[in-house]
Amino acid sequence: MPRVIVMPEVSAKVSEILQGIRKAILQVWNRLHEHLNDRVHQHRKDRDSDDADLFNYIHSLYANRRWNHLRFAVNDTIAQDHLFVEAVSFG
Amino acid sequence: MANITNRSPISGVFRDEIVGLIGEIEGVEPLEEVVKNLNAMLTALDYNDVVLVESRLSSVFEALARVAEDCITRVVGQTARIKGSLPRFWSSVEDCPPELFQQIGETVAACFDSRLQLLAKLRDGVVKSLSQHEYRVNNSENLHREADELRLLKEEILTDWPWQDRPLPEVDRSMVARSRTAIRRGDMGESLENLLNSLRG
Repeated sequence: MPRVIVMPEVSAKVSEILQGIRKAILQVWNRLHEHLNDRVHQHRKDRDSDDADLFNYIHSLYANRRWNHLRFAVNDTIAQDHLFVEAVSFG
Repeated sequence: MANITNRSPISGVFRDEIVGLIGEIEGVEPLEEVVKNLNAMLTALDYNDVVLVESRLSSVFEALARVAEDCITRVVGQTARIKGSLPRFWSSVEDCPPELFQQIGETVAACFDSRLQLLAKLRDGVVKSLSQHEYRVNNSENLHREADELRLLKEEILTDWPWQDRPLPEVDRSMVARSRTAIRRGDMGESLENLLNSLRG
């Protein structure tokens, strides 16, 4: 199973987007953990069209009375069996 | 009203229509009164009694207006009840696997659409028809208000729903660049396991 590394700015951004709601933040990281371990082969196919080093992982959750759509940019080319979560954007 | 009581093909067709209609709605509890008046109208038709036929027809319309009022009473207020159950709905959605969001959204949209269709059917069918025959359905103005509220609620719930074909947020390229700079500097971030452990406390 690959080792998933989350860059500090990404974890800070997720906390900011979800306004520190622990249950929501935990859900995001739990699902990321599950998907990047069990289904990484599936997600790897969804490459970023402008940066071949990245693939997308999308997560939607309803928290704080609104939908939060998170797009993670994950780099699988830096080190073998390592996935680096380099960015998150919100919409 | 044209004389429909003559023993003519027209009266025969009209009689058959009524018989057919009775066959379709007999046994439907809210329409008992309508069926009763239709049967009385058939009897009047068989007796060639124009005045009685018109009177029975009037009773049929009045019974229909009452049925329409009952229907409207039942549907009006449903939007408020749906709003009341929203906290429970959102709580369930929070715990749902994202793979189900498309299906849930489609089911919710279909439920709203079928309710809106029912309201439109009542408004543009029975109520309008009765109004054209100068029979008023007393609470019909509530239908418009209910439909408006239902449409707004549908929009509130489904706006921004995570549909599969929804446009994605753009990748934050500057965050990617800063992360890569940090990695080159040796700042390797935190493993997801550690992040989870620290959150679980």
